[in-house]
Amino acid sequence: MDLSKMSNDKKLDLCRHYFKAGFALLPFVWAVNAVWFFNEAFKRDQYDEQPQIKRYVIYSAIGSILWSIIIAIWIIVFQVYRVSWGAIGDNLSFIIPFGTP
Amino acid sequence: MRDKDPFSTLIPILVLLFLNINLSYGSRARDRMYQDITGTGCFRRMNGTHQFGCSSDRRGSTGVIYFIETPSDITNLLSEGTASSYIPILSLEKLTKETVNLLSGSDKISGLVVFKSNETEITEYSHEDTCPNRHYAIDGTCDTDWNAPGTNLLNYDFGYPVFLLTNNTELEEVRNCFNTFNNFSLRSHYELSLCSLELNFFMYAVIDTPTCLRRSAPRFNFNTHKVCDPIGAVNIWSSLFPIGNSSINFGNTTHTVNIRGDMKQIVLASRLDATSLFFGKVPGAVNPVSNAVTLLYTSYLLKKMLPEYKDYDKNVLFIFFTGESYDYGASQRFLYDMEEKQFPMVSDLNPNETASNIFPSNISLFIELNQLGISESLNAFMLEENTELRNFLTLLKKYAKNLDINEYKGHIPPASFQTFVKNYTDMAGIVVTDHNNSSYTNKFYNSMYDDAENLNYNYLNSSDAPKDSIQQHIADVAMILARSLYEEITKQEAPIPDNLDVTVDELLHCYLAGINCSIQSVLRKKIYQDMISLYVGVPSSINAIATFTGLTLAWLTADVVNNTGPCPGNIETKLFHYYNMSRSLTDNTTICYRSVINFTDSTSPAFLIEDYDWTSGQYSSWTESTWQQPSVRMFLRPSRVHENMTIAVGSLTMALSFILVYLIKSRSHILFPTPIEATPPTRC
Repeated sequence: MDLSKMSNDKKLDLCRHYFKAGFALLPFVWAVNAVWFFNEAFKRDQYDEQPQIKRYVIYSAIGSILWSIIIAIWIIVFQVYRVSWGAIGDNLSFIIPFGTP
Repeated sequence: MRDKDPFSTLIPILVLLFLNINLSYGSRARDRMYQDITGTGCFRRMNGTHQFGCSSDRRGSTGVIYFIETPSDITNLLSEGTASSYIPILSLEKLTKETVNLLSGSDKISGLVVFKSNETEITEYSHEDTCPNRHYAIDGTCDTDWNAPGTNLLNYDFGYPVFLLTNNTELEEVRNCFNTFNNFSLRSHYELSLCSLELNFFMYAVIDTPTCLRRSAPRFNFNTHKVCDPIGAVNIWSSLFPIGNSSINFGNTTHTVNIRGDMKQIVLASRLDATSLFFGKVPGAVNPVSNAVTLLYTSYLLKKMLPEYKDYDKNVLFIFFTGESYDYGASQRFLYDMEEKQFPMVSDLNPNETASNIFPSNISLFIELNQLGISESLNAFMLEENTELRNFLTLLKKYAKNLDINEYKGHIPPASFQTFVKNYTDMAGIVVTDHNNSSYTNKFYNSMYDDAENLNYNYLNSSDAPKDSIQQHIADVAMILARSLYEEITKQEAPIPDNLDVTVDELLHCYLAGINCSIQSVLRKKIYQDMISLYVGVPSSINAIATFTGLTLAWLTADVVNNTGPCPGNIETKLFHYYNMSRSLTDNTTICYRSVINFTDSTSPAFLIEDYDWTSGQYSSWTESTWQQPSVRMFLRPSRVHENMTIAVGSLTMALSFILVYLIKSRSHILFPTPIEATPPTRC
């Protein structure tokens, strides 16, 4: 989709949809939304729908950053403690390495 | 130039062709870089709480080889070695706990290679614990260092692969390579091309038994790979007389068997497995072959003396436990089966058969044979004495003519009987051995040196056994046991059996020289085995020694039911097994035998019990990791300077190429001027 060929109200619609979709535990959609509409929200000359788009972009960005932090913490905790968790660690793993704890 | 001799132009082409042919002649780059070395490695085993043994890296562990001649070589290597990793090579007798501790403390060591040295004579060698199966022994057993030379390296977790090189020519090549390239100052190693080894024996399992079993169990991700197997094989048992009543239609006749209901059982048991640090190097001559053959021969003599049941109130159970080296797993399973009313399996008998379970309380006497090398006396270890035991000891002394019978009361050496007496303290039993109460006579217990030479065995090939030979000794011991058991059962003076065509020599020959022996041809079953190894293994691979022993026991103790030809098909029985085997070693007519022989699973009960607590220490919990085919390769590793130079030049070239491409691209309009289009495009 080429944003430059869309009308402003269509863009707002699209941005809102992406924002809502992100609530379905899809942080990557929020990240895409934030990047994709960044120029529309901050770089372009003002237009009617811009404040709303700006709001969605900011919220999406915050959401995706929060998610990244949570996931990063989990990855670190899991990698550090997987072995000591024993059975739980194994059950939470999809692929268990051979020959190493 | 034009009128040049045509040959002069051909010569360079011919030279090129010749070079090309020469260079590409049948050798691949890999083959020119590496030389394969034959060897066998130490492997990983786990119990309920720990891992033991060795493993290489997934893609093999590599290191620069370094021959260790004196103890100071190790400290020098560790402090002065300048190559990135080393694989020390030392002769077997230098493989001690101290050496291994020293090596394991360093991250410079990526593997270890040992070899059999011809220069020094080894007088003792064992990597077993000084008190084997220490954690499953009854109190007081381990006050004695039974296996005095034991280093206990079998119960050590090496952090690197350990290999044994078995081919002397290849060992010489390795030594030559070392002398040519590596035998210079350790400090200069970083600037030299060095002879190196790659050891590959990667173990899939890790940590402990519960972890590896969990990881081997089918999971939701459909990506299960079996990483370990419980250690175990088959327990073999048979009996002198049948263990139940039956009437079996056999052709036109009916064979009926009736025995008393109140039969007491005398157990005659032996273990049938050993172990060693290196896979496949388990000759097990003194332990367990000497005792296993004694049991087989005793059963043979006893059957000769007592071919038929005549209302006796005692029966003899012949039992081989396969898996005792690992915390008595096999005898624990046998006892467990007894307690669970699984011994013998009487639940699904045919309607024409009746038999009742045998429980530990039905065992009146437990006789265990345990290491019976040449000795001047037989040693009987017992915990407590009762009348049954006293009577039997009196009989032993009565029939022992040339051998003294020494009695040791109060403690017994590590033996399967420990499993039984642990739970049934009043069970009467003796452990018959060649050693006294100070330590084993066998100085090579559970090692690769416990071989025919250790047992003083030389094949006689049907000539008479000299008086001081192991063959004669085992035959004597078996005769004492068999005659004592005869009187124990019949209450009558024992005769001397005659017409003995099977010899101890032939039996020993099968175990020590290869199963492909005269007795195997009698059994009428091909038993495959590449190498003779008494290692118990895992149930998924057939234990050839156990199969051979079981069938031999069947043949030696079976009743002949048809002396003229093979068994008819469709014999309905669960109490017996019918076999078509040769009549004797010399007469290969097929006749029909009926045997009580049974093969039962010998994996520890721990693997049967649901939610077993692996830390409880109640049952043996050993597993063996799965692995890839072991391999050892030798190659020349470029010096560190060379390696660093290669990566530096490579990196520099890459960086330069980036800069060059950038420069060319940014100035492309100068280098490649855009052509002026002759005709401007027309717009329609």
